[in-house]
Order: sequence, then C-alpha cells, then structure tokens
Amino acid sequence: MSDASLAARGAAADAAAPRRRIRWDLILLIAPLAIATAVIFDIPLLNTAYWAVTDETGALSGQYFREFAESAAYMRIIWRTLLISLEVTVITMLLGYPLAYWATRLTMRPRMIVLGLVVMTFWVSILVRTYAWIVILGNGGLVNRGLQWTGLTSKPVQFLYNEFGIVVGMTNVLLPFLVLPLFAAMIRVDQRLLQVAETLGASRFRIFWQIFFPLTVPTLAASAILVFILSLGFYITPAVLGGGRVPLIANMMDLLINRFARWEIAAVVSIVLMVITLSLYAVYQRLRERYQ
Amino acid sequence: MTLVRFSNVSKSYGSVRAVDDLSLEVSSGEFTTILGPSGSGKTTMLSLIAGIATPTSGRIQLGERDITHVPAAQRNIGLVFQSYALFPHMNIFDNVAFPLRIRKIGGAELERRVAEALRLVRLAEYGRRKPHQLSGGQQQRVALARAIVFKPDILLLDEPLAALDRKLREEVRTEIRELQRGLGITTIMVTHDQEEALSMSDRVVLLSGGKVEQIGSPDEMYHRPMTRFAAGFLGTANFLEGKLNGTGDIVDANGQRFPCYKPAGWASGEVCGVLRPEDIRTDGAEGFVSGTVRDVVFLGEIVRYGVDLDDGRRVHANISGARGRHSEGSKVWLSWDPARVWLLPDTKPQGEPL
Repeated sequence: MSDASLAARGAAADAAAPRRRIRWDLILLIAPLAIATAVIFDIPLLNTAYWAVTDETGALSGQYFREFAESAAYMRIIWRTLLISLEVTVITMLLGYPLAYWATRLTMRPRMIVLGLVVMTFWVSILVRTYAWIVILGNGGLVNRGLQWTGLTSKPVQFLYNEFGIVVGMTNVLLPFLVLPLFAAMIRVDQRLLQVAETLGASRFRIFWQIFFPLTVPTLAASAILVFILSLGFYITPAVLGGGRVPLIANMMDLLINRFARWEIAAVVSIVLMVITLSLYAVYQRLRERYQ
Repeated sequence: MTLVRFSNVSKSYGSVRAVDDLSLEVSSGEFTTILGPSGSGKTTMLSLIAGIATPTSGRIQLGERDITHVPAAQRNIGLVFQSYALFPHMNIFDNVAFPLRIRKIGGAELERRVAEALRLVRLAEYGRRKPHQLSGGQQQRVALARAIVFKPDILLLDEPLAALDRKLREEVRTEIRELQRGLGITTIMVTHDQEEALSMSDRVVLLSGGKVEQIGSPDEMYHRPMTRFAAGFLGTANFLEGKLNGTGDIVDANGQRFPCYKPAGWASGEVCGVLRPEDIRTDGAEGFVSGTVRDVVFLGEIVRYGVDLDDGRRVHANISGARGRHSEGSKVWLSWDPARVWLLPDTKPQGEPL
C-alpha cells in the first residue's frame, strides 16, 4: 500500500473518531448561552412570526400580510428605507474606498492616526454623534453661519429634518464598517503583483484598475452589503435628524407598537425586513467565504 | 557585447548600504547568476535592474541607454518573482496576454503569441484555468511565459526554484536553461543557492556585503576561488592554513605538513590552501595525514566523512560509496594529489622567493 493511501486512511480514522464520541464537556459549555438565546431571542421571534400569520382566534390567516401589502403608507416607508439605505451605501463606498486606499499609502504613524480617528467614532455613542450633527448642520449651526457670513445665502439652508440630514448622519455612523475591512483587504494585496505589473509595462492607471481594484472588489462588495443591512434597521438617526418627518422602517415599527398598538402589522413588517436582511446576509457570507 | 552595465552603483536604505559602489557588466545572450547569502545585496541588485528601486548613486545602462531613472514600465524587462506573482483574478491566458494588451497587441496576433508562449512552457491546454488551479511548478512556468511573451531585452529571475520541491526543481532548472538557450535571451538570475548558480549559469557574480567578491564561469569559481569567502560559499572547502615552505608543503602551527605545490612566483610565507572534499582519498594504508572518523553522512552516491586529524583539525572528505565504508571511530590515512590544493591568491605572500 502506498504512503498516500495509508495517510488518507489515517486521516479518515482521525476524522471519524471524535464523531462517535459525544463531547459532553463541550455541550455543557455551550448550553447556557444556547438556552438563553432560545428563551430570550428565538422564542419571541417565533412568537412574532406567529402573530403575523394568525388572526385573533389563532387560526392561520394572511389578513395582516394583505393589509400590509394593500397599504400605500407602509409600502412607501419600506421603499424609502431601501432607497435611503442604498444612497448611504453608495456614498459610504465613494468616501470609504479612497479613504482606506489613502490610509494604506501612509507611513506607520500617520496611518495609525487616520485609523485611530476612524475607530474613535465607535467609542462615541450614536446618540451623541447624531446630536452633534444638529450643532453642525442646524439652522444656527456652523455650516449655515459660515454660508451666511460669506454671503452665499441670505437665510439658513434646510439641511436637517429631511432625507439629506438622515443620509449624512447614517453615512457618518456607518463609514467605519466599510473603511476598516477594506483597509485590511488593501494591506493584504501582494505588493509584488503591482511591481510585476509595472515591469510588464503597465501604467499606474492600469495597475490600479486592472490589478488592485479587482482584488479589493470582493471586500468592497461584502462591506457594502453589511452597511446596507445595518442601514435598514436605523432608528435613532432618522428619528433625530429626520425630526419625525421622514420615518424609516424602525420608526414606523415604533409608531405601530407604541402609538397604535398594531402588534400584528408590526410583526408582518419585522418578518418582511428580516427576509430582506437574511437574503442579503447570505450573499455577504458567500462573498466572504469565496474570497477569504 | 555588453548589455547591462552597472557603473559605481550604490543603494542605501537608511544607514544600510545594500549595494556598495558596485560595477558590473552583463553580456548579451548570457545566463548570469547573481549569487550571495542573504543580506549580500542580491535582491537589491534585482530591484535596481527591474526599476523597482532607483540607485542612490551611480549609473545603470541597458545597451547604450541610460536607464538609471527610467521607470520600470518603460524598461522592457521580464521579471519572474519567486512567489510567481500571477494575477489571481485573471485566468492563465489573460495573465500571459497582460503585457501584450498593454502594448496594444490584439486579435489574432495576441492569440498567436500567447499560445506560442504557453506552448514553450508546455501549458498550451491551460489557458482557461485560474492560477490557483495550477501546481507550483506550473504557476512558475506561467510566470515565465508572461515574462518572455513581450520579447523583453532581459529576463530577470528571482530565486525561481526556491519554492519548488527537490525533484521539480531539477526539472524546472533544465527547462529554464533550455528555454534561455532556445530564445537566446539575456538572463539574470538571483539566488542564494550555489548549486543552482553552478549548474545553470554561463557566469556567476558572487556578492558579499554589497560588493562583488568574484566574477567568473562556474568552473573558475569552483576550482579557482579568489577568496576564502568564495571558496567556502561555492561548495564545501577544507582550508589548510599555514606557512608555505620551499618544497611545496603547507606547514601549520602544529608542524603538520600538507603537501601542495608551490606555484612559480610565490614566496614562502603564510598562505591558505583550499582542498575540496572530493579530492581526498581515505583508502590508502598510508597517506599524508592521519585522523579519526568522527562523522559519517550517507548521501547515496557519496559518503561524507568528518575526520578529526591528530592535531584536532576537522577535515571533510567525500568518498564514492563504491569505495568501501569507514565507521565512526576508525583510524584513516588521508591523501590527495598535491596539485589539487588551490592556494588562495589573496593570501599570496609577497617578497623574495626562496
């Protein structure tokens, strides 16, 4: 028998052995968290799903889904949420890619400062950061005072309490989720690929677009999907910077539950949102697995 | 004809002089190997030729052209990295086509030249595959095809065999050599492996500390090393240090005599002789010096003995396996042809001959 087949048999035996034995110690370690997750997370979630598909008597019914689908208001808010999330994702990509690329070109110390500034936004509460935008973009804020002082405008420009304000605030919060993974991917690109492309006669433009950029696209796509998913669930930023005038899905749920006590419709919206999110998450995982 | 000329080239990284006032000429059509231990400046030399780095001072010429400050993209040099550096997101065809598309070659001409290059490295059927679907040796050959497809003036190889296993290494070694001869392309290889240098090159440039230690054909480098470093780096060497006497012996501090021969024009005095392990015989009942076998390494075709001479000096002898075996601890007599002892020129004593 050849060495290779012996080795293969050995490996197969090794792989089979732990499967036969039940590792009670591991099960004990996992059990507390698994039970806690099931009780405080999974059961309420199933309960939500149950509300969505039954009527008052507990019989299976599609009435709430029908009500949801026929209401222009719900659809408009879901559509607006998707659109704003898409805008935020695109702007985050347009700002984040050059920022991450620039950071990889810096020497050690400036690079640490830039990344430090990006990471630091994680340390400040979203609420604080969101209110900070009022100081900057409000009618009496820095930007408006600057504009009026230079005489570009005579009265304050309305930056807040509209979609623009929400997009600015959300982009600010979500930028690190794109910049950090992208920076890591860019740092990992083999410099020798770029050097060899240069010796083969490629211009800097060509090296960037034909070698560097394609190698970072999987991470860019994966991070963009992550940003999009996170955007869909934003509550505080649209509440504060939208001033209640531009509700998104999360704000609508708040209204449905706390104001109108329409738990069933809220359940339907949750299910719809979850299906969208999980589908995108599946794509995100596929991208990550394929390229890492 | 000289194709590449280095004139007093230096390259510093911070306070480190990687290449130190180095001058060198590489002839057209030759296979030249830049050999040296790590830190000798050989990788810097490669970067300087490729244009990845620019010298701190000095001048580099390609033919009549001064390329000291010409960017890598305009040098027309085919580079093969040790790590192959194939573009992972492109298939094999597109990898090889890359330098041609830059040169605005397309259509049937592109197809023909890529196919030709892939055929040369025996990978004609692999165009649609991705690099990660190929073995190390195949990736290496794709890198080679990509480096020659645009007919560069020079082919630059960076430790091309280091990542391959032993069997494959010998195969690729022959292949590179045949390819180089077939195309007649001027090739510069950088390596730390003396065996590669000896077996593949027309000329070897031995570097040490950023300076040229010796330049010569593999035969010259091995049999007529100029310095102790050169003798020790290419192959194994026994160094016989002592006083050269009038009758052609090296006499060491303990009075032990090592027969050599005394070249004309050499005075008596302190010298260092080089005796290669394969020139020593151990099968005589008598010999020049006696010692005890301390170390036996069986290498198949030969057996390498470490013999401690009676004065404590360790000598290595390579004996063909067919010539009987000695066991550890056994006493042996060592002998050799005195003419095989090469006296290192840089130890040549000056003054009046006896």
